Amino acid sequence: MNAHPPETQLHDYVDGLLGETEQRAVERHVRACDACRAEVEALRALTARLAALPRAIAPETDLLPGIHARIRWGSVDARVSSADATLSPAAQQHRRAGVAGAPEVPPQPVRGIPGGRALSSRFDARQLVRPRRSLATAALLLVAFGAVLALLFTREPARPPIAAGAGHEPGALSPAVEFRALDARYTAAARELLAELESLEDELPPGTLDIVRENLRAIDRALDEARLATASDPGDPRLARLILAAHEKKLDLLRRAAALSVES
Amino acid sequence: MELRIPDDASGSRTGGDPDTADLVRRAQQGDLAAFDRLYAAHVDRVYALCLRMSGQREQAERLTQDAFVRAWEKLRLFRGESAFGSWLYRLAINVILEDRRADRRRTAPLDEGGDRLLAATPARTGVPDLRLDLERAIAALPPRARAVLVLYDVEGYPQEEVARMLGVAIGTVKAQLHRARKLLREMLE
Repeated sequence: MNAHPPETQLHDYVDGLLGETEQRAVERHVRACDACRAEVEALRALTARLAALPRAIAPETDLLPGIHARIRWGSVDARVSSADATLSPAAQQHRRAGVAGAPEVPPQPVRGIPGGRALSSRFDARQLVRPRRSLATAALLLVAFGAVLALLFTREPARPPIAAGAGHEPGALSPAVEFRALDARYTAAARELLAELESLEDELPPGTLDIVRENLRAIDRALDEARLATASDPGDPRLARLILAAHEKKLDLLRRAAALSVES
Repeated sequence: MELRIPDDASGSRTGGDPDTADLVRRAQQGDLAAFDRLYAAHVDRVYALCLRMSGQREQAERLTQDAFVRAWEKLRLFRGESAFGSWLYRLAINVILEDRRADRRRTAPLDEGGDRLLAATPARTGVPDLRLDLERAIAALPPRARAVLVLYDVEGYPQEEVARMLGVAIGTVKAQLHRARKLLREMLE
């Protein structure tokens, strides 16, 4: 009996990737060699099991609302950069007041979260080692937007009109549009903070990020459902408050986790 | 709608069948309802790919969303030179690989992936435990070996194409594949 074929050759034999002559030679050996035959049979059994795995698995969560939200509101980068432009002068003023003293955070591609199409393509290594200053800034930003959202809705009428121009000055944006812009910016900022937390995973108590992510998923599901409902009734302040409450929960969770990172 | 990759069994291009071709055309014109139907037809395939490639449910959900948002954004570039399903799955693979390259830190540690996927795999009547064992073992593979194994042994892409997707030499694909199979056998024994 000739020498055992190398492992690579046995795999290629099983995969049918050898030339005709080589294939025949290995086949002759395998017929005569118990060890190689057992190896080939085991490999064939494994590859058959792999090929027979179901090609489709249904996600447990309905992902479509989140996809719709992102399609409607554009990519994270676009949302962040355009959010200010879509705010009313009043909302911009609130926002400026809210972040007074805090350094501006330039729009950053965010990673690690839904909404991050551009995240990966534009992400670079520098972001992995961004200093904690950015973390603190992101936290401040979230606080600021929490305040802005609250202000926006406390000054809103009970049921703001939706149709363009209805009840608004010409050129003014409806509260619903303002809210969407704020919601998008809030969401992007939350994602940035989460990305920061992820980059500091080693400094967090073990399991912290898993808990944060699990809770964020639950909150995001609620957010998606509320956003979906606002699509059919964008002027309902109760839905907007629901979204605001979800953002507040998210903010609180991220703030607590950020505090753990700073403490550790 | 069952679609096969890399060579879509449905035969025709553009979308595999007249309905799909029509949905693609409408979605290209901005019809979100048509896109929803394409999503419904393909989401399970895309999610399965994302789940097996990432080994984590939450990551797979995010990647699936990323893939469909990317598909919506790039749909106008789809010229029907391949079946829509093939185009979409290839796009999803690019999303997964870009994401992995962007942040290798998010990759599950060797000993965590299996449990996460197992927890993520819905309990279904009639699903043999052997299948779950295999899924868990795949999820527990080192990321590179897992990617090669999923793309070649599960999804059926040729080794040359897997090498191109991953940006590595074909010898590297073979080495990772053999390593993955060996590890799987050890885990399953």
